[in-house]
Amino acid sequence: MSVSQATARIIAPPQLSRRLRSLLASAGAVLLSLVVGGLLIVIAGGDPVDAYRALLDGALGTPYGIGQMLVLAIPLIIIGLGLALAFRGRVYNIGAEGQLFMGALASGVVAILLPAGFGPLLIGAAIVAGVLVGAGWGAIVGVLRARWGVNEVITSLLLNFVAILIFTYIVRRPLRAPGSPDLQGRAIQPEAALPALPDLAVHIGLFLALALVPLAAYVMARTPFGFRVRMQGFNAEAAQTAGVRSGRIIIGLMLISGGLAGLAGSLQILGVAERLDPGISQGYGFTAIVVALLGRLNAIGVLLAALLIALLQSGGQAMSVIEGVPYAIVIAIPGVFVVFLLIADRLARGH
Amino acid sequence: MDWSEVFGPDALVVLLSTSVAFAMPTALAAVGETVAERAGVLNLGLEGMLLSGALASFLVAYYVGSVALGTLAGVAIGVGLGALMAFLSVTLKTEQIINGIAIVLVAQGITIFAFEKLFGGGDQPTVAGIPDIDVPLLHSIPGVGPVLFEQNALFYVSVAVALGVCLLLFRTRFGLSVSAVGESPAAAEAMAVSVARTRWLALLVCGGMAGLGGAVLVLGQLNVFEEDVSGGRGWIAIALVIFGRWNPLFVLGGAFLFGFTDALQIRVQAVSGGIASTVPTEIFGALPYAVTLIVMVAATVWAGRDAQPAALGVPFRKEVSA
Amino acid sequence: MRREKWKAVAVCLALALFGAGVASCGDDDDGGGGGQAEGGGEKVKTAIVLPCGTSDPWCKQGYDAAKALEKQGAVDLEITTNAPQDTAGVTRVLAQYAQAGTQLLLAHSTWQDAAFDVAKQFPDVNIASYAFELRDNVAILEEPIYQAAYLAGMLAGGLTESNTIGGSAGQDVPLCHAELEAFEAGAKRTNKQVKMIDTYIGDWNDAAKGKQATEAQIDQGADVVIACGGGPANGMAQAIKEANISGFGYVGDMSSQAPKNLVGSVMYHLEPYFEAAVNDVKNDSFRPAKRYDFGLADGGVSLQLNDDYSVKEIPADVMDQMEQVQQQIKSGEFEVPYEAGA
Repeated sequence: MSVSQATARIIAPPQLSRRLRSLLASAGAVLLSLVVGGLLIVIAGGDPVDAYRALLDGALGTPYGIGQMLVLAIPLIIIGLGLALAFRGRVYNIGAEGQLFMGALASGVVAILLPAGFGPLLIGAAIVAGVLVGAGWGAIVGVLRARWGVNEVITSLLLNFVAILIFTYIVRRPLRAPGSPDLQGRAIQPEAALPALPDLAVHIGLFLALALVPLAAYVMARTPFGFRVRMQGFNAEAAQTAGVRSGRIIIGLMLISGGLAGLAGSLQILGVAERLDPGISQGYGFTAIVVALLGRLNAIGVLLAALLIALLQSGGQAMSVIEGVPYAIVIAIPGVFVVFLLIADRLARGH
Repeated sequence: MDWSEVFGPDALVVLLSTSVAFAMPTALAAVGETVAERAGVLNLGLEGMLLSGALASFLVAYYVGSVALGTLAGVAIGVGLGALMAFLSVTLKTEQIINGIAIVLVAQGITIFAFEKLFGGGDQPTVAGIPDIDVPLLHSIPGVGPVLFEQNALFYVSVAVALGVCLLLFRTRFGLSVSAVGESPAAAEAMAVSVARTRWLALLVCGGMAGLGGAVLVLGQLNVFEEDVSGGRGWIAIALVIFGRWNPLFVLGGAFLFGFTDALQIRVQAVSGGIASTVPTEIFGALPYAVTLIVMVAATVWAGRDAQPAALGVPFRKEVSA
Repeated sequence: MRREKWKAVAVCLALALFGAGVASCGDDDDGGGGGQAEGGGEKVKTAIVLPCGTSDPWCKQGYDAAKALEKQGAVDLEITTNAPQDTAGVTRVLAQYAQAGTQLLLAHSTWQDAAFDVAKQFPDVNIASYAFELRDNVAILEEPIYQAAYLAGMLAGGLTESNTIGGSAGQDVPLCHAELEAFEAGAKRTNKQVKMIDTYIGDWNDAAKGKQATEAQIDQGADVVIACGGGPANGMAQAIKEANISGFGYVGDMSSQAPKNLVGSVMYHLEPYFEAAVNDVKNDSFRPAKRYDFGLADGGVSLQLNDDYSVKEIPADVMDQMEQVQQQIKSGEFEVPYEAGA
């Protein structure tokens, strides 16, 4: 018997019903990760109970805090949905970060340069620009893979760096904020800014993100496209024989995931930074990969995983401030959590 | 701008020499990753292993005073993290991608934390580092000599290790097992090759090499440690494995190509006397990535077949026949 | 698929239950690692947020200055190092401090957007940051490092034998552009034939690239160099030590890294900045927020020479000239040119 099987038997004896075992294993995982996290906190000189209380308090205790957590969750949800779909089709888009920045750049340029005119039109134009450019940036990867079989992992990864450099250049020179001593871009016109919800400090992009969840679920489960994607992901050869045009699927998936990443970037510019700011993302495109995988590549899972990660990061920052736990430990905690959740997942499935 | 100052014989020697030296940490990590991926494990924790190896080697060299022990410490930590990755991905069979990313996150958090705790607030600590060695006779060969034989002592160790691993992969039974396990684990298992054991060993080798890369970076080149000293080398290494089509020799070549273009763009900036006002510096910065990308695309189009190990990234479950 | 959803629900439930449990039990700690402020009395509740660790000279300067104030008893100090790199993350950290009742927030980086966001949400807090626009409760900290770089350049002009000097920086932003330009201008003042090489490595943290950049400049003949940014500066220090040439440290006393090779360091003294902000908060004179600008003349920046420097003898006449100009800057007679770049 393997280690995992043995552990599974101890935590969740097979006599119990499947569902109960699943619950127990998940709860066990949460507990274990809290313990390990607590250990890290103790090593850092803090008090685990206080620290966790600070974490929850900071993330959920005030309307402003909740808003901040949601602000972080929004790009994770949007990009996560796109990646979940792409990964299902075995198209491993590691370039979401670059697609986010390209979309952000396009949106920002539109929001800065286009004549102000009618507010919602300007916003709409900016968002459309962001989606299109993000999709286009992703399409480069898709075409390379579809036409010539060039591995998408490396092309998308390398294009990240190029995208960020392009963004940096635009911010540094043509569209730099006047008077800024450092890398800050121009502010968008006020008409292009996304309104925020009255009490929570979050922009209305939240509704867009939430609306995408059932839409993505529908596409994945009930459309012919979704079906073909799943077939391709499951067994590419069989799919080919069945007439699924893999090239089209690949390009389609890159367009969609790239477009969604571009949308996320667009929302960051219009709703969060309201200027061309290199700080609109710190690895969100990569965190979204974790979100997609943790969410088991389905829409609801992505939503929950995004909220969880957002909670951990947002609360973690609060924890570091209130409890004096060095922020460095806070970086490690989501990682610990995610690993244990996966272990629990594995144990619960049993063999 | 005087291009002979970049590509002229003397300048070229210096350029090549620098590229080779600076490409070494990435090359080590990349070759290690090749071993792991050929065995079918996608190890995304490479950056964390590199970083941890760097810190461990720095700390031991600083406190104990021995750079040799420091190097060993770096390797040891790398091996340890490789074991962790193996435990998660091979034994517990959880999602490889997430395990790797989690390892990177934890490693980043702990290295920053430890370094701040030990040295925060004080002056930047340095270590003596490992000296450069001129190989007698060989280093006098015009051209090749200064490039390959006037390098840091750890460089020679690294080359030996890298070539040794190539031999391992191509000429030993272990190497055959690795390929078998990566292509068709079920078939390998049926031929009494333990998939789990092979993958464990592959990950230990991978981790050790990444740790060595970290030690080379800190003890052989920089003589200091700073947070995020690895600077993304681990991720580039992973890309290089794909670039090299899972052949360690091509991977080494790719690492060198990348290092070369990186060194080149810095040198061009220096020689041009700072034409930053006309040509955006970002174009220089993009050069290594663009070149790697273009070469990769050209090579794939020309070579055709996909060289990826068939079972890469998929945890292997022994089928229990009814 | 349904099982997956149940699992997800289970996880959330477990977390929620845990959260409720933790929230209800445990004593009512006031939390916070620092000391207790007794009413709104003597010490100003201050927090400094650093974008890096203290191994980076920029962050070390902020850290040292804040610690000095703490030692004086002027502040109750909280410190955050290695703050998140994204705007939203920084906003959260600043907001947390503001929520905890911090009176003065020292946001030690170009975090204008985050500062504005938090300033609006928490009108009672006072923030000082490297912004370029003022708000009622957000003050601007200036960084006139270029003034000291000018003086360093004057010495460089006298020290260089090859008539080639170099400067490496993280990015071509006004802060660094001005520093390198001032270095060049100062050098040309004492040595009309000097040629300057600028390299922007594109990364603030990569010491290996910084070392390469300096080495490339050395290959082109540079024998006196300066840097802008933690990575470039640390890399430069290693490079000049190995090549045995001269250099100047960045925003802090870097002489321990290359004792024989550093002519001196361009110092950025944050004590006057922080002290001014703290006093303003204490005396209720922080608003409307102002621009804190302490240059060479006011003790905010200086060129600190290194006694252990031994690569070359600094020519006496160049030294005199530099000290003369230093006096002129202090008295206001001479203004160092500020070139921010296109």
